[in-house]
Amino acid sequence: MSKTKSIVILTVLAVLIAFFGAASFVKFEVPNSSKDYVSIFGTIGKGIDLEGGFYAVLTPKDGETASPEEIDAVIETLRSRLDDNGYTEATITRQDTGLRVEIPAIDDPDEVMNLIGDQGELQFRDSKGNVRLTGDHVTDATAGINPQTGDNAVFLEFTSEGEKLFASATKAIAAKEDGVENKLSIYLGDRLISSPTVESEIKRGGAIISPIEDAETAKTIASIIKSGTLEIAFQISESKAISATLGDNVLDGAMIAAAIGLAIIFVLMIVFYRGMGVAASIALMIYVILYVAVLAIFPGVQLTFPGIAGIILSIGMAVDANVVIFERIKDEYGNGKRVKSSIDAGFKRAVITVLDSNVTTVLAAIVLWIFCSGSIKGFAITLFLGVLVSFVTAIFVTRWLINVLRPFGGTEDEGAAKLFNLKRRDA
Amino acid sequence: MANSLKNKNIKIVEKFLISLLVSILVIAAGVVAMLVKGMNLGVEFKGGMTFEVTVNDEVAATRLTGTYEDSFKADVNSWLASGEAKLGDDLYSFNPASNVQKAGADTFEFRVDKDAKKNGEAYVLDSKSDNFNEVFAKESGAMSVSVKTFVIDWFKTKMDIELTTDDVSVKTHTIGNEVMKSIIKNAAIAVAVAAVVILIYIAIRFTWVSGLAAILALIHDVLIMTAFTILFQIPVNSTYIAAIITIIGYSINATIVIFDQVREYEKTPSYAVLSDAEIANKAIASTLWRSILTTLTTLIMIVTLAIFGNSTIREFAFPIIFGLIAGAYSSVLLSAPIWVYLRKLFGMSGKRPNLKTKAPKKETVEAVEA
Repeated sequence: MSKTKSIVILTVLAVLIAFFGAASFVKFEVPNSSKDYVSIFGTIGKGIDLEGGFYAVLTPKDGETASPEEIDAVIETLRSRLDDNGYTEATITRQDTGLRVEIPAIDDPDEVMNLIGDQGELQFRDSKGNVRLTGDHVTDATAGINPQTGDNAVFLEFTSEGEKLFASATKAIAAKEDGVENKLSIYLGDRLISSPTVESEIKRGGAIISPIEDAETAKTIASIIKSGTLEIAFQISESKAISATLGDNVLDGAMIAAAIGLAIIFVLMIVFYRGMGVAASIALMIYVILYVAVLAIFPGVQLTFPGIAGIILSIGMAVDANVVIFERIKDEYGNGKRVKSSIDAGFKRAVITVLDSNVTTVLAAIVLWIFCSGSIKGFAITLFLGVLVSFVTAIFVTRWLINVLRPFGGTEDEGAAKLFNLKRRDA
Repeated sequence: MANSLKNKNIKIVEKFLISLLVSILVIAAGVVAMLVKGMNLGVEFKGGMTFEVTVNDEVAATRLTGTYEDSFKADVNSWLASGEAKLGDDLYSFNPASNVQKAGADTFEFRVDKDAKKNGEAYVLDSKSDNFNEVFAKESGAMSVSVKTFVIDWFKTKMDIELTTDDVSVKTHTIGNEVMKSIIKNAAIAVAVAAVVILIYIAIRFTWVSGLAAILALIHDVLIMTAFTILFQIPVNSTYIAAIITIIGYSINATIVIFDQVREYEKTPSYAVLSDAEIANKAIASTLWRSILTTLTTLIMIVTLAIFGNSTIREFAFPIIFGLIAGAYSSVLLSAPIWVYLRKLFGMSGKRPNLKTKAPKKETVEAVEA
């Protein structure tokens, strides 16, 4: 490689790193467009501890235990309720004793609380409290407007058995049999939704519940009825809304910290290893850009507090790989090899060391990913990807960069040794 | 500098008992602190409640910084703990967490653990307790009302600012410890499984004695980290669990690098006459500079994070800083000596892999002959 070629390569690299570095981290407003450019880093999914949002933990009521099948059924029920109401970004995860619902970036946790909280069964009761009909007899429930009154309403459709029960119940109530009042009360759990007067037997295949205070409530009630009652009674044992501003500050602080930390590391590496340190610093910049891209592309990555630690840790490991390699090269040169064969032998030998140490970390990350949930899982993914990317950049990119920088030490071995801070061992 | 470290004839193995003693003293100090002060368990561990106090009045919110902010937090907490907190007709006292988080410019999050007192008797902040929902859970409950009144009074007496009930809002949340229990259980299982997997990998790539020594060094790191956490009363919560796991992942790296060097020297014919201790000392010496530099660079990253991060990040950074130091200590001073002593224990001292059947790789031989 000639010096001219090296200069060209380094110039192109500088431009590319500046461009992709900016694309990765700089946010800006796009003129004449409603959407801003959020940077590649900005597209990485964030956990609710950073983005803000709402979470609730549901556990079985009265200290009961739920079987895995029951929890699965509850998850499915809640999923359909949340989807129906537009909370498609919600995640529901199982935990030992129950389950956890997380919804990023929402303002109104109360509505969600109503949706996921245990509502109890839909019941039609007469004035003496006898249950005439339940949610089991309903095939469909939709929200709409009562055509007669213009009120918000929920429309129910019955099974054929439900139809018969409804007819006989309305007949009995209209006739005030057994001294009941002519009212049919509709309950969802303990909550009275409406209590209409029944004038005559109703033989239709459905019923209308109205009036309901607003359209949102009608929608919520419809989706609760439709999805059925929760298979076992759950209570919300923990819930919290997290404000987004907290996360913004943390991320900004972490980015400034990472930039300053990296700058100090660059200086240290260049002081100790001169040319090789320059190669390592450029490789680290490439590593950071690649890493951010991989995090943005890889599905299921969520930045969390521990996730940030995973990132910092893998930067530390990327530096470690370089240090291990450079120390090897110094040893080889110290033992009397020429510069080129020192570099070749150093890399060849150090690859085994770096591989073994990285594989153990990757194994640990995989185990964590399998066994843990939530933020620790986020940590495991960032660590896993970070170690993979750092291995590639430390082994291949750094080596290539050392070859690119080699011509700056002149054609003689002494110059190259000086450039890379290599010394013969004193006898 | 690096070369001078490498050529030094250091005798780490011979000083193993001193190194071990230092660690044992730290751990013992941790145990004593545990008995005296106990662990600073976060609200997440015990379960409890949070009260988010938001000051909606802009003038009041902007003045609530610096010393005012500190005394505001301290005054609310001491009121919560005083036993003078009158909610409805009853007097309550709480165990507030000392670190009050700031969620946004005008919102403070006070946390209390679930053991409280009502008129001097034990009261658990839990939906199963009497009147809990009426007093604590509801937004219009006595708790919110009393906190609001206290905050309005505080602004009047301390800052001479008149606030109305609309200027302050209080939101309460319950925190169960079910989440924490399951996080800990899963993390413990994960760490145990990871340790076994790492042990198997090292046994295959190195020897099972190396694997055992590496795992013992890891246990040491976790013990030291925990001891420091108790000594400095750092709150233990889910981020702490993540910090421990972080250190396990990191510390194993440094240990592997040393065992890699041991493995190489074991296969070196001219070193065949050396004892286990001599090989271990040489391996430690030749990787010492790398151990120092790598720990230093990672420390730089985490210390800058602690400086620029908020209190949550700092809570996380401190255990990691302790862990990095413990990890470097155990990798350099303990892991290889443990390997030497384990081999002695199992009667394997001085045994080298059979060089005739397992020819070392060419470049390894070359490196030594040169």
